[in-house]
Amino acid sequence: MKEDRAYKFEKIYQNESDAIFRFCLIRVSNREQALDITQEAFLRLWQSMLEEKEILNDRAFLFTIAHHLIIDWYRKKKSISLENVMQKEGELGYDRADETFVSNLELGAEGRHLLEKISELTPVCRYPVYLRYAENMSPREIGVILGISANVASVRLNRGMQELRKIAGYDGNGKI
Amino acid sequence: MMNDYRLNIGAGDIQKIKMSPEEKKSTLEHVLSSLPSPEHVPSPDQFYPLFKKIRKNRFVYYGLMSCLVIVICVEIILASNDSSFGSFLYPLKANIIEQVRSVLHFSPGDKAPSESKLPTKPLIETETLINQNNLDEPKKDTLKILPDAQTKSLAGSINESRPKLSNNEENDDQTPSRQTKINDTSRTSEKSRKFHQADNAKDTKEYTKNSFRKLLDPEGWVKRGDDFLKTGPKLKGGEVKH
Repeated sequence: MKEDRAYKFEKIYQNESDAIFRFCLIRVSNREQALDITQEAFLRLWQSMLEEKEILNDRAFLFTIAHHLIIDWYRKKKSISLENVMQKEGELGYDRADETFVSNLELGAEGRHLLEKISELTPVCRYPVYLRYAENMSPREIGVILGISANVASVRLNRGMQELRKIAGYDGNGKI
Repeated sequence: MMNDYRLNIGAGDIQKIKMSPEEKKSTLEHVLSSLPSPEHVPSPDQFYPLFKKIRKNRFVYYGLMSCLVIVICVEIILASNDSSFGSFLYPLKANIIEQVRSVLHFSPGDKAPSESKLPTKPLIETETLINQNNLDEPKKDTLKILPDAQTKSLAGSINESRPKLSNNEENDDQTPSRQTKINDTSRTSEKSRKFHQADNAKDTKEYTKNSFRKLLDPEGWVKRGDDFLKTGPKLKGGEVKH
């Protein structure tokens, strides 16, 4: 029984660990911290599996846990250096991806450009767009992770895409 | 299209951000080793694991719960049928179940047999209580009222059916039988009153057994009513209408 659970867990880990790590890394701009949050998210999943709790969608579960852990991490960070954080936007308790950090990532030019432009989006639209295009998630999954309905996620996604096309030059106006 | 192509390339580049194999391995090891594996301790309660399994399947859970509720309701109804006056189930029987039964009989013809039995029930219950020496003053007072109320109800249901039948000339033959029935009902009520007037007499028990059974003969009375409703009104020429 336990072997079955461990096997299932390892399978989920192999499939989702990179996505969770990427999601955390882009948000916290710190590789060690991203690894810690990823580990904590998988630890919670493993704990739930051992307690035989019903998990309908493993992926959404992991992203939701990671999302809340990141918010918690930012809250702790805020209490340490309030002044620095107050300068940054924090509607959802997130920072924008650190520009120097993004430039240090081993990314192609298009990837780096897209990541920078996603970071410039309003926080409400930023995460739906990221989850849709970087993680290929459906509006329903995005809704579950962000705690909103699928319709609201879809609306934010559309608005975010319009905004992204405008600022990233994907709308054909040749701004880039 | 070109711009979507660029967007897709950008998304593909982002998806290349991954953990190194070492990081991946060490994180997995940390996770698996951080929690002690729970040893399986058999539950002392044998029903709990079964209940837990049932709860996991919502369809089975709600189905079983519905069945349980139905079984409990049926058990209560059956138990209340045998309840005597003074029992805690008696109000359920008198106020709800009998009312529901009479409502479920839509035609006056269907309603009459069940209502015809009602006035005799309090008398039978009185007898039972006397046999058990459980008849006290409050019970007597309540039992005095019941036959009258039920007799009125029966008379009402017979009156309801009368106009419909009077339209049909062929049903004129029924009138004497119906009149007999009403007279029987009035007699039942009258005897009930007499019975309660005699409650101070020392030989109440004897009075009930001898005079009630012989004079009132409720079973015979009910049988006559049932026979009438089974055979139906006799038409002219000796035909039986069903």
